[in-house]
Amino acid sequence: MNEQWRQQMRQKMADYRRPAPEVSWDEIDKALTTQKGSRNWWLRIAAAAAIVALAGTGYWLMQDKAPEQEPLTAENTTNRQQPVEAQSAPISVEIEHSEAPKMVARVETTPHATPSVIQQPMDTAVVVETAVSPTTITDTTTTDATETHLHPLPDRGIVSSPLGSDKRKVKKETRLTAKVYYGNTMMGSRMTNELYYFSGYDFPINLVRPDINPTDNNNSNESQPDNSNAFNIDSTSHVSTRRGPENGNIRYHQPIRFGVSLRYQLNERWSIESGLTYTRLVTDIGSVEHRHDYLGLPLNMGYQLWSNRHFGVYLTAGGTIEKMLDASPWQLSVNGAVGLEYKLTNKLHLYAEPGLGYYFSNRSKIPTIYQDKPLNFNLNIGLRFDLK
Amino acid sequence: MIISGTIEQRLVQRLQDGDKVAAREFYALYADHLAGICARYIADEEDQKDVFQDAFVHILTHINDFQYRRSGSLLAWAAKVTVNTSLKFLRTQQRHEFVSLDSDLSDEPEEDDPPVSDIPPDVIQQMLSQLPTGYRTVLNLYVFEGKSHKEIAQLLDIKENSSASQLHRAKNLLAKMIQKYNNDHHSRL
Repeated sequence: MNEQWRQQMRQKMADYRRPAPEVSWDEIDKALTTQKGSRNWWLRIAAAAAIVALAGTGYWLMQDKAPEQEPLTAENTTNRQQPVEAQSAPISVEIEHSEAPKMVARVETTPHATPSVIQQPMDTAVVVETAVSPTTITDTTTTDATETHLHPLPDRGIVSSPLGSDKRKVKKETRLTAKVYYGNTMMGSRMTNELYYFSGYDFPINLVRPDINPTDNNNSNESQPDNSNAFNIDSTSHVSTRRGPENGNIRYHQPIRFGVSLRYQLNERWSIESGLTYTRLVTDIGSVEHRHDYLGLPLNMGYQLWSNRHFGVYLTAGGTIEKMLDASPWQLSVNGAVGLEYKLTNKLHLYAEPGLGYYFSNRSKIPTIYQDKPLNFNLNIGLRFDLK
Repeated sequence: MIISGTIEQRLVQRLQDGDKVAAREFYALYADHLAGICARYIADEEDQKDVFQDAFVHILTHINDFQYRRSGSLLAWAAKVTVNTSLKFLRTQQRHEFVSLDSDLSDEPEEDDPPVSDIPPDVIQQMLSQLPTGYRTVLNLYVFEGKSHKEIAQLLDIKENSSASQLHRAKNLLAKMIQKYNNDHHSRL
């Protein structure tokens, strides 16, 4: 009996409304401001600092692992103090965001055109994403109702459906995200695999550096180029039999990549992403600079591992097929990364994606960093801009 | 008006971002409902305003504790905060009213459930506001919040059988009021 009456009373009063008393907005705004200030700023700063620290550490590690080395060529045995600079490219990102779902994102990169070779490719990436989300709204009545009520005050006395009976199914938001990015890849690339030639006058001995695995960490000794133990003396082969011209130490510049891509959110966790990448590789063979431009088609799957209001952790993996524009080779690669994302605001996300990539051999005769250092570490740091 | 789904979720997100315009939209959408809850617990209108303001500030400043789960959960959460704020007010202001009836156990005969079906909601609200605070609070918690007498006893720091007897008395009083209302109403016809 009691239960039945309870139900009856609940139904009776479920729609009961009463004109709300005026509230003191001054007090509320004040409370909101102080609360916001005390609650979030340190968290945000801490997270931003953590990501910057991570990025900095990554950069430092790359710098540190690649000590300045002089290639052991006949020329610079007499001129050892050749300065080698590695400069990071100042990157400025400008985002113009207007109210309408239209957004202009501009990424400017001005890599310092250093005439000397950048020996330690570092990896940075700035990614700006524009997200245009065609949000599905459950039904039109809901929309209309809400839109009327988002204006200053609702009509009093409108009786709405009671809370309990509101069982409309909510469709999942499908979201299309676009991003524009810039990135460099760190090709595990110290000069471990370089070829050194002694074009000695009457001493046709080819000195080849031991072929060290790019991921091997025990390479710190190579900062002592004089250590003759580090060389294999292959007296049987001749200069001309090895790849590259005489005096042709091969050096790779920092690869630069631009890309645009679209991401489609399949469900809460899975997303699929594809687009176009443009990559420029610069290789110095001897004193001649070779440029190779690639156009690539990446395909990646993303999986959201965890997220809350402030942070997100996800995995991303996939492959890229790239075509060298000025020559025939196709280049296939796979990559995987862990993404750490910090939501600076609702729309602006800062993220870092440390990952590994592997470039398959394409049997090309053109020496590229991809062929020499198939396995590489990369760290993308970027901003993602979300428009709901 | 109750909003649901995506729109509700978006409003939550904006509130969590500290969007002041969103706070005003929230007021426009939910304030009447929450004011209705305040009125059910608190008889005095000035007190209602104070409690409403407190509840509203609490909702907006603690919105980050709220996690959106399903359609309608924002209102459900806001309603809960409003109930708690009302109870807190009652506990500090009128605690004695719960205690005073502790020894006064039920000796009234059990009557039938008050016949509420034909009474308009605002009349019932009016009747509820005329109940003694203790009765009204117990009735509210029991009927609208679905609490057991054990839970009510803990919330109000009273004995379990006191909760049961106050509900019992509340219902009897309500039944009388309804009877009177029906008489007045029918005599006028």
